[in-house]
Amino acid sequence: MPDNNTVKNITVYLEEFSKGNKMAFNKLFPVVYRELRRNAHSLRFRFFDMETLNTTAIVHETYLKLLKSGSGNFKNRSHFYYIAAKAMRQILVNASLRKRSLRRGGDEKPLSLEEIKDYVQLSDQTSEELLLVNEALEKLEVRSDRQARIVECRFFGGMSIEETASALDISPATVKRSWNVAKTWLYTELNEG
Amino acid sequence: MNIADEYWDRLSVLFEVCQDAPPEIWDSLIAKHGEKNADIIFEAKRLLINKTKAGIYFSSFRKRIEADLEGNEQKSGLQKGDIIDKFRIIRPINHGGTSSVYLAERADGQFSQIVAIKLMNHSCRAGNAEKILRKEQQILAGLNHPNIAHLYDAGITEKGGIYIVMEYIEGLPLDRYCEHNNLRLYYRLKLLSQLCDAIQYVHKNFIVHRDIKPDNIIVNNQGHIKLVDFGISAIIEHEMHNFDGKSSFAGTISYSSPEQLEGVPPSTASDIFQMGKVMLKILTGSTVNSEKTIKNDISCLYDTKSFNKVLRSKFSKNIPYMISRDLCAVIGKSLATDPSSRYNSAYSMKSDIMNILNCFPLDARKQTLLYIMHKFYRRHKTHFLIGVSVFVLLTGVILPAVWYLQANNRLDNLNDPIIHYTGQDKFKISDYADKGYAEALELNELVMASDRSIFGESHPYIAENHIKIGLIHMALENWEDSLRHLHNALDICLINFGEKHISLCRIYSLLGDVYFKIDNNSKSIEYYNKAINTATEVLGKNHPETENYINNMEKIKLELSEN
Repeated sequence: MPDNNTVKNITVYLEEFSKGNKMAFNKLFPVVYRELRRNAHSLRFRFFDMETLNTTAIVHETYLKLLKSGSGNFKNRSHFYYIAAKAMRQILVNASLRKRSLRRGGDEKPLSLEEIKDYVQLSDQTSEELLLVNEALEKLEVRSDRQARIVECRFFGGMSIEETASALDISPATVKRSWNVAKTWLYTELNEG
Repeated sequence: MNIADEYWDRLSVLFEVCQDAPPEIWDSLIAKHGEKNADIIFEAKRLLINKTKAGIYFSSFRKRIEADLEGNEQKSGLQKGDIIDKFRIIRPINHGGTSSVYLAERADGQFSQIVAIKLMNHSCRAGNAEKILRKEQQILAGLNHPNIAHLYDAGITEKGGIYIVMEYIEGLPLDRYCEHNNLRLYYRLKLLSQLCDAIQYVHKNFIVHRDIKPDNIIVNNQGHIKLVDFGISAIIEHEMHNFDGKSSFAGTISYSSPEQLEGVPPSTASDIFQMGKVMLKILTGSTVNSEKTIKNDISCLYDTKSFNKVLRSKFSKNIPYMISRDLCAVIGKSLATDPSSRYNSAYSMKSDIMNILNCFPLDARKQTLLYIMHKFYRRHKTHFLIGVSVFVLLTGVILPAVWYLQANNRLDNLNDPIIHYTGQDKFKISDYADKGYAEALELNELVMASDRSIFGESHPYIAENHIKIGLIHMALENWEDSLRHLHNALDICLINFGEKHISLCRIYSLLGDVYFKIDNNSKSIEYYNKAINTATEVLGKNHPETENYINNMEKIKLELSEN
């Protein structure tokens, strides 16, 4: 659990970030990334035998944890979600890269206990596909930063259209339209590019 | 708006115009829309062909990722997003035979709050079940104790399912916590004494828990036990079964008392019995076959010798026979077939557990003079010989010293004179706050002076004194004084125990705290590292204490990087 100081800082940075301060993002990202990763593993390693988990739920739980009873400010929350979406992308891509390097027998050294704890388990197929989607997304990023962000929010963060719109400061209608085009663009890139 | 955004906006508008129409009429729609840019038109057409496939691909891919993360999927009574009363379900936590537990959050936007919701699998058919539920809920909601998970609400869903809204505790059930962390006997007994506290509080409020078992005792991330799932579910089960015309028994068979099995209404004595069962499970790791053991008492199960054997193989070869015998006696007394022979309160059970920890004689055992003497000897083993000889000469001096020892609740029975400070610092400081720091300081300096005269300059007790005084100085923010005392304590411990001893971790960590306070970050990190390394070597990497130090370090590093 983060202590009160951290919660306070996160709230302050979120405010800053909402106002467009890019430095605040750099402060927030590592904290959110770490907490998210910790949650992803703690959910998997929890004691109950059966459980469902999905990225949206993890992101939401992380938000509630990091901000405790924090502000119910919808704007702040959607900004937080956006950062979490980026972090989630990073986590999944890292997990896929590790899977690939293990499969190819690249780095054979056994994982330490810490690393195993952090390990997000993905199947071979999922991790390969994820890397391909990520490459395509990187290409899209070069063409339009905004389009890529929309993909991050909708696909990696599991955010709703309204949340995405609020986080990126664009209208919900634009998000809806852009998401349709962006995912089609990615799909076309994956199959024809 | 930059060029790229404008391009994509125009592209997506055009895309939207055509997306639901068949390809044959795209051209006419585009003409009607008025887009002239050939690149955009070309790109829109190229993408439109894949629109449906892309939609299906991404939604199925997301599901596959989530399925990977989920590991195994399962069906449940409630789905994510379902609303129960004021709460929205986030995800299932656990599915049991009679109920399912879900993680949920407050949905009315009043404030954010995470709770656990337990939903009974049976639906409620009888009208008075609700009345009973309401009554019980009122009583239970009034309970307020640090070792009891708070019950917020209970009710019946539209479909007739009974639900209970409780405080959400993140942690492990007692038995799994102990095994997972490979906890030493000492810590297990400490946890059991917390359990006694909780049950004592419950009984004081005229409530019988009815279903005490490790699954209902969660150890949270701070290492405190929390009693969850109050008798309320047992009560409900009971009512259900009655309506079904089945047995009137409520609870978990392997933890139930003989009289419960015979259908006698549960009492505080049956709770004591269940605590005895839990204790047996926590110490030996086995849930002993219920039918047989319930009819006999523990003496038929384990004679002291084999109990001692189990403990030694489980914990340490050095567990004294006396301790096994005492533990056996405590469990035996709580598992007595006749309810009136059991402990008459959870408090008296706790005090016997504390007696074992402190090497005092037990209530559960016959108080022969030899037994009492032996206990006294174990309590003060290291000083017994000195004590006896000094006693002859200086009765007047040694007695107050012994009183001091007892007053300070010193435990030297489990080999580590200082270990009992672990995790207690905060309490100690707040204890002092009530009395006033100055007074506490004076008292402790007096104790140290007297200890010095009896035990010499470099006895572990003196280290203990230094730590106490150091802590008080920390509370007073006299950093220099606290550093001096902590370093003294460190030196003494190094002399007495060498470099690999648990007592060092705590001191290192405290030193790290103080150096951090005075902004000497490099020193602070150096000492935190020492605490982690020593704890890793002595306790192992996964011991909660080691993890505690590691977490602490992480927090500090985070704070440093933020400033």
